[in-house]
Amino acid sequence: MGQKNCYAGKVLRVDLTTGTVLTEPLNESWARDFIGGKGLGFRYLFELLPPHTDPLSPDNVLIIFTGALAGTCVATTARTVVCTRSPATGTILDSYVGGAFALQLKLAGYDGIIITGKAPQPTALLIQDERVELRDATPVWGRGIWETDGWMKEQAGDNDLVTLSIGPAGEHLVPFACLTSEAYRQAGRGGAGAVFGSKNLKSVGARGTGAVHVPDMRSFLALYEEILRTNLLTEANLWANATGTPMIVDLSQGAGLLPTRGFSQGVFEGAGGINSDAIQARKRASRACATCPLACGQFTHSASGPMEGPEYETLGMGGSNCAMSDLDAVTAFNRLCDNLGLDTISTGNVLGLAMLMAEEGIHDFGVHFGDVEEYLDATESIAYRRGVGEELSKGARYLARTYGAEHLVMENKGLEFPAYDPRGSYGMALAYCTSDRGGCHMRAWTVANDAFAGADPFTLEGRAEMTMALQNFNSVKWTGIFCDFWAIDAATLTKLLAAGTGQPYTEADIYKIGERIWNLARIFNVREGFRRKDDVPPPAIFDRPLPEGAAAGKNFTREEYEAALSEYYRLRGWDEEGIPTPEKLAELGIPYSIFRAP
Amino acid sequence: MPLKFVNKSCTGCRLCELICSATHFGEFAPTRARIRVNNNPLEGKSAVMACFSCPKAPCIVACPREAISRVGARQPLTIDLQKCDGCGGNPACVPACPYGAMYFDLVTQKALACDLCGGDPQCVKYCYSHAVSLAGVEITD
Repeated sequence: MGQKNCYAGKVLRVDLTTGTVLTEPLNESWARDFIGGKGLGFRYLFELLPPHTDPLSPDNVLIIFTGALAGTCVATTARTVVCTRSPATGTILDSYVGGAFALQLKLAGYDGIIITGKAPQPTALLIQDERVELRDATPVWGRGIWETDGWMKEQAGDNDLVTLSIGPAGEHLVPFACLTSEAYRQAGRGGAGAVFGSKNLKSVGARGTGAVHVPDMRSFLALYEEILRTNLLTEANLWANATGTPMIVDLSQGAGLLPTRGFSQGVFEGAGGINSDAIQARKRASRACATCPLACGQFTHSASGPMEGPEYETLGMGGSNCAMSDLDAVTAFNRLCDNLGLDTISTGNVLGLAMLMAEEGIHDFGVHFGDVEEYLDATESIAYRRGVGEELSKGARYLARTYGAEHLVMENKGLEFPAYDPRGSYGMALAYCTSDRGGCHMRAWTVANDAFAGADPFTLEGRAEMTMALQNFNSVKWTGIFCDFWAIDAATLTKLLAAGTGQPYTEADIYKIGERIWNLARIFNVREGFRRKDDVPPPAIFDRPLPEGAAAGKNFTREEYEAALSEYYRLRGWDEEGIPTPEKLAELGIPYSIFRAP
Repeated sequence: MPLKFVNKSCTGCRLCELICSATHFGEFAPTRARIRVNNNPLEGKSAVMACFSCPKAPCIVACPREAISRVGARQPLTIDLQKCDGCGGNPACVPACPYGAMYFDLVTQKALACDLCGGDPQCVKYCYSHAVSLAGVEITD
């Protein structure tokens, strides 16, 4: 209480090994330099995690952080970030989930939670204002996420408790196990669910009855009302309200980059069964994360049951990439993944690869394009690591290396590519491969600037600069934590962050903080041994042009890619191996001493 | 004009709660809001409720301090904060409301009910899905 800015001013520290829970003040100097969300999460992680820590050992650290503006009325900012060392990639990981967890955590009086150690038995962390307890979660160990969430609400005696929970996939340490919140929302990528599982942590629930403050409420509301009208509820963002992400299916199909049949094609003849029209035919309601008028969640009812979704990535990776043209099948897959705690992107990528391997006669895992029963069985087997799922659960990179499918696989640093084939938008290759957490589209969604915007997508020219600018801007945007679906500009972002935190941030500060965060992530990864050789796309990008569609026959050479990568490093002020120079770190105010190179 | 709710339009975003508490108390505190959202994410349903100036207003009768009044039928309630003593933490008006639209402020230890923001309800202004509106206002889009 008594805070006159948007921070709660406190961080929870939970040691699962000893069962101790402490509260410490938020590090205010870090808050000023890193704002919140991704920035503060990474800063704390960098401080607390020793180099070369096994991601699934008790020594790994889980940082759950709110954005600076969580708990205020600002749209999309109730998102939560989970930072840790990824068991899928070995890189730094920031994984985001929408919903209302951050709202409740902030109202309970905390900006973030630091979790270390390993509990002796299945455990749940229950946060209700100042009452913070570790409970025996044995009754729900082995259970799905929906049941776990209900059990947590019963334990709390409060229906407004919001949880981050794992399912069997996290318990079985599947490297692409996710966290699920509010039934259908995931911190999907990079395996934070497995880190929960390795710590015997089944669920974290938060519920707060306190308040969040801003320096001057009257001017804050006046500012926000204006921004809401002129900057958020505008054509640039309202697609999210009207249709949500499923509309991207037709865009990707038109651009010839919709991953189809294990990325062997870029157009899917069955796309009409899984596109936005198919979703709209089953839509019952719009659902929103806390504070967000965009309400992009498409709540559908189909033969396989009700759910919020599927979203585009699932329609792509679990749909076209597995040759599933029936929305009921994809919805069944999505519901399984959500409840068992699997990332649909990685799961769909792995299944698509396994199906392609069968078709190419490399290895038959008993999954084949278009066979719904096999597809759903395999998904369940992956979560429990049984039968064929034992091998599939190890991820696409493992399958490729072990069974000789490296010419087919689509991943970077061990993180499976999502649903934009870089052969249809070359910039995405650079975006995926320079991403701080491996093959991820969220750091620099360059495809929106070319293939989806009528510009030439078949070039790497200017993409180094575009990728860098987007990565820096998104890094600071996710200190808010603002959602991708709000195409907010730097000036507006600066105004809102300054009005909430009370810090006199300028646009220049905001850009610099974004670059600072990105460089901090890079030195984390460099410290773990990542170099230039890890920043390149898989062979299929160069060697296997797509057979049909708008991107048919298009590819670029290794030399062209390496030149673009060198340009990217140069623009970043990194050396030819991708290591930030001491000068760059000094410029960004990152003390070189924290960079203990191996 | 009283408030009107369309639950099937409610997306569960709780912006109404945040705006309500910000407007009345200068802080974002959903548990001090005069409008409340009940979410069921699993089934994709939400319900929103606030005092909508019901015809009978049993809260008025239930109050032992005669702290609740209104100037006419379907007019917003006025809670006299001098008279309201929160019934020592066990307010009679809260269970008296059949709609669950009367609340208790744990900070001030007094009853909380929608006052329609003096005629310009902020929740209505911010509700993009029109789950909350003023009865009688025609929704065109």
